Amino acid sequence: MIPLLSLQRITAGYGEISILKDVSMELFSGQIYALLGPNGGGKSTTLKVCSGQLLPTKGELIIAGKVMNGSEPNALARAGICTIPEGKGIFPNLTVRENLLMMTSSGVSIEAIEEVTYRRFPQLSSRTNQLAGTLSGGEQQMLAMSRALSTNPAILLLDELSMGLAPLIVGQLYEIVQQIAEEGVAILVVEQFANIVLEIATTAGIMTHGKLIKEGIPSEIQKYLKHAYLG
Amino acid sequence: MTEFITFTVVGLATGAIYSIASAGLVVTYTTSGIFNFAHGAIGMFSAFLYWQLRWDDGWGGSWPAPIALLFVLFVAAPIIGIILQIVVMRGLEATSETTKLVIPIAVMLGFIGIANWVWQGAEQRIPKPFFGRNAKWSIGDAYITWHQTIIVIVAVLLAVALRFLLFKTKIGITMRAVVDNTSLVELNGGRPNRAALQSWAIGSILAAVAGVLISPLLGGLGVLALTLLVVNAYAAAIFGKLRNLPLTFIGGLVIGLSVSYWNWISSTGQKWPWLSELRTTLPVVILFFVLLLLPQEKLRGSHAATIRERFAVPSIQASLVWSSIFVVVVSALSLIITDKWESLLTRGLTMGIIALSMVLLTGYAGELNLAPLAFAGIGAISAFQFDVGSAVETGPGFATLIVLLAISFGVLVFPAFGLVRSRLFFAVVSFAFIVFILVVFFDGTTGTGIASRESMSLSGLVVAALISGSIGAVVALPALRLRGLYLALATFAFAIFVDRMVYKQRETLTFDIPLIGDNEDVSINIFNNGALNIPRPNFWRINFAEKQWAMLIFVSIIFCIFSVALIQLRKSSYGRQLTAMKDSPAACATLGMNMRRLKLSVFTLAAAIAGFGGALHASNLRTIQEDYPFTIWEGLALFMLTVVGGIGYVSGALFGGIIYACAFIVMGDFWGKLAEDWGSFRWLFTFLQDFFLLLGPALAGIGLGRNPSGVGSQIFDGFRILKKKDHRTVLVCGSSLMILSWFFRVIEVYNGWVFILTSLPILFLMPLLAEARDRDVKSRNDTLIEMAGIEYDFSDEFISYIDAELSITSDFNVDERNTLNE
Ligand SMILES: Nc1ncnc2c1ncn2[C@@H]1O[C@H](COP(=O)(O)OP(=O)(O)OP(=O)(O)O)[C@@H](O)[C@H]1O
Ligand SMILES: [Mg+2]
Repeated sequence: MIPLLSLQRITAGYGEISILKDVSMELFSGQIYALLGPNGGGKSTTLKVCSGQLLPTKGELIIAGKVMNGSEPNALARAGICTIPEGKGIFPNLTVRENLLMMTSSGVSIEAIEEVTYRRFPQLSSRTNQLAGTLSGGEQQMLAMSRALSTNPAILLLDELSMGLAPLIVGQLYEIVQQIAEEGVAILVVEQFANIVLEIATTAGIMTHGKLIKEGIPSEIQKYLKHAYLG
Repeated sequence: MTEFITFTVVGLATGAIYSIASAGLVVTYTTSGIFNFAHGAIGMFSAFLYWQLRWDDGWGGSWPAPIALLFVLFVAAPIIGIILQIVVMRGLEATSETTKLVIPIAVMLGFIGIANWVWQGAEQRIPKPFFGRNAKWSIGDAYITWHQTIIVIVAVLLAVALRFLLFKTKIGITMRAVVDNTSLVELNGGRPNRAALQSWAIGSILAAVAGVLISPLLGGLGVLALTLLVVNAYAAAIFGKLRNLPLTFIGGLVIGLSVSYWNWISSTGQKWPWLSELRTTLPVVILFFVLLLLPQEKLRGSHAATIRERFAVPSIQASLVWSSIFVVVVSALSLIITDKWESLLTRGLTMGIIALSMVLLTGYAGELNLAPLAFAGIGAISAFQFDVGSAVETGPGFATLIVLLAISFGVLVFPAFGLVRSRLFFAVVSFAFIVFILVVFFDGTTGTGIASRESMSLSGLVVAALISGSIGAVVALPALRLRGLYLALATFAFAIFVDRMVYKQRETLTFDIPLIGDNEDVSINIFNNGALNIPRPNFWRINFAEKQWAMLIFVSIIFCIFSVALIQLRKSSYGRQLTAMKDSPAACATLGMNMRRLKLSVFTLAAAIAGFGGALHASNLRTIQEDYPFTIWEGLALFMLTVVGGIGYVSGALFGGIIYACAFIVMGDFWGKLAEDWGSFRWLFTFLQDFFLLLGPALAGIGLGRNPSGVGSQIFDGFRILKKKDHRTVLVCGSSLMILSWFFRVIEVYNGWVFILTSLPILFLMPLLAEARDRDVKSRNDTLIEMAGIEYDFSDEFISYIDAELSITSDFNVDERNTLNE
């Protein structure tokens, strides 16, 4: 089986400074890969490489067996990579409905998107004409997640879904992540707080100083974590 | 009632046009964050193009209206917008505020240049209104032309269409989403670049619609007049804070109606003659006040975080040495160049002095000012009115006035230097006293001559600086809370105001100054019917009027004095405060700095420098007109070229001034001369001549305006290498050769061309030579210590052989090595 997403010895950074050094990883259909590590380790940078926002200086980004270095992020998005970036993955000055409309670039009709979103998050359905920026933090994250749900991606990249949210909501969101994975989507989850993701992950990796220092099954990683954070 | 209806309809029609134009401005601003200064110029260009297609005798001409309209609005205009976006505006997002302002200004000047080039000549170009002049209908007794009707209908339709586009279509929603978060649009699979293109195309179409509709309302087409007319729309866009379209439309109508009602009340400006130009100025007056009343964005800490321009400050010794070298070089040159060149260079230097005011204000303090030449003009006018050719009696009353001005200047500027109170008092008093002495003893205040004095006195320059500085303070006072683009627009409004209300002022204004006796009323004919004669100075027994070289050297010395003073200022605690204010106003506010006082003082000081330079410039030219040299356009060009030269350095001011006053003229002349000499290639050389004269500055701006530290400092940096001890021989040999060449020219061994052809190559070869020598030395010392003696390329086979001998496995991989390291 070929991996849906694979990084081959990627080196990448901003300007002169290399952040990622020689990172390789593979992500298969239905898999949830949890990428963990301390602040500034390079996790978000890895996601930027995967989503095409950052051009690697060395190495290859391979998607479904094809080398995709240098593809525009919007082309990758239309090809089925759904990225929910760090912070708020929504347009604050657009209404909820307009936010949903922006998701139609992936080729799914607005009706289908609305149907899925409002079925999954009924509380958004009463707020269609509210500015997204005025939604609560949880609702905003739901709105962001609805893109992952409704646009049928092949690969899902999630950055710090839990940031600033109550544990209850985080639990709900990750339940949904698990369901998405069951449909065969390959998922890369970046988190600082490991416990929640490690429960649902199938593989996990630890990244510090731009290197993937450890990869393995979640239970193994759990043991190793303390060492990584302190070291 | 009939009049009321007529004027209301006229107001609604022009207002509707302003609304359309400003809507275009808002669309491009919101989606790209760039305030398109060229917007008005695009409207102007489209109006000319439409005229060309419909009515010209030459190319085009007599196209049917619908086809011409379709072509101008839906082919030419969108193409202009798209080209602008791709070639010029793309990639401006992450640049500094100054750059974002300068590039569109360069584009505007470019359009003006092209239009002046294509539509040369004094031919009257009169576009006709839709359906002709006589197509009217009436309400009661009031006639309404079909053209006016069409304007209003088009505006309403466009308003509805824009609203629909932005809120109901995917294209419009994407444009708004791009404003919110560009990278998220991409992650959604949208194409931000395409959205930007669409918005620029739409903005450009709206400008074209406005241009085509407004042009028949003028008498005949004029490049500058039309551009400025659409500039009126900027005020409307500010009504909507550059975001809100409905408010923008209302703003446009308010402006149109105010102008129209003003015309009604003042019988088209005839009732109060000295206010007659207000009908063309009212929109910018409204712009100024709307800017003042607009709720300002809060100071944001992150504002300046992404781009930091760092300008190195030369040491005081270095600046003194450079200044001396500069004066010596200028003096040496003055011996061998013709009068014409001398006068061009002098112009460049006086312009450079004016540009120094921008180095202080924009380069050091980060405050944008688009009205440098308005202050220069005010300086020149003051010098005329109060020194050489005034209608004002220069008696004790005048001296008192000047001393009062000096005191207020001191009070405004000195506290910011951080003087303690007692010394502050002392400083202000002594400053006022010096000014008093100057005015009384060097001016010979007894005269009452009207345009009679034959030379300008030193006190004329001081008075110019003082008055211009005070007016700078008056303008800055209300604008203190403005920053960035808003401040730029406010000063732009002021510049247009001065252009119209001051330079075009033909009335004699009489004031009664209350404190200074009854018979000392001041009556001023500000611009003396369109031209002021300001003679050259005549002191130290040098008659500057006859000796251009003396003027040149005098001006170069003044330039150096100002430069050294500015550099000194920049290094003082005052200068550091300015830099801090530029870097982060938010941080300064939290530190408890009094930013208002700082801003007020720096504005006053900069305006004073500009006024001084302006008076000097005028005196060098001997006469100034209402349309040369202190107009808004010239001011924008000077601002732009100073940014190109490097607005953070005095060398940038030098570069800006010289390039502005000489470079393009000289290049134009050069091609012009070739065109004369080579008849067969005339078309080519004339083309090149026009090209450099009309488009040179704009292209320089577009091409080089992005360079944050400017061209001037880069050139200087190139020569810095010669300071090294190693290169002393290069420096000495090069300079001696150049001096030799200069000497041969002085004793007229050869002509100017040979001098240029010998000395310029030497000048530019010196740093190259030094660099080459450096590289040579470096490559010799480049080997690492531990590699010394074993410089040898090992082949892969050899390495694996060694590995095998040392029993290192060849698949020893990176990961293992890393774990080993840990
Ligand atoms: N746009 C940028 N320009 C320069 N450096 C950057 C940029 N973005 C991130 N960095 C640097 O790259 C390094 C890795 O950042 P990254 O965002 O990938 O970390 P992270 O692992 O996601 O951390 P966190 O858990 O805090 O989100 C950091 O040192 C950061 O300072
Ligand atoms: Mg991160």
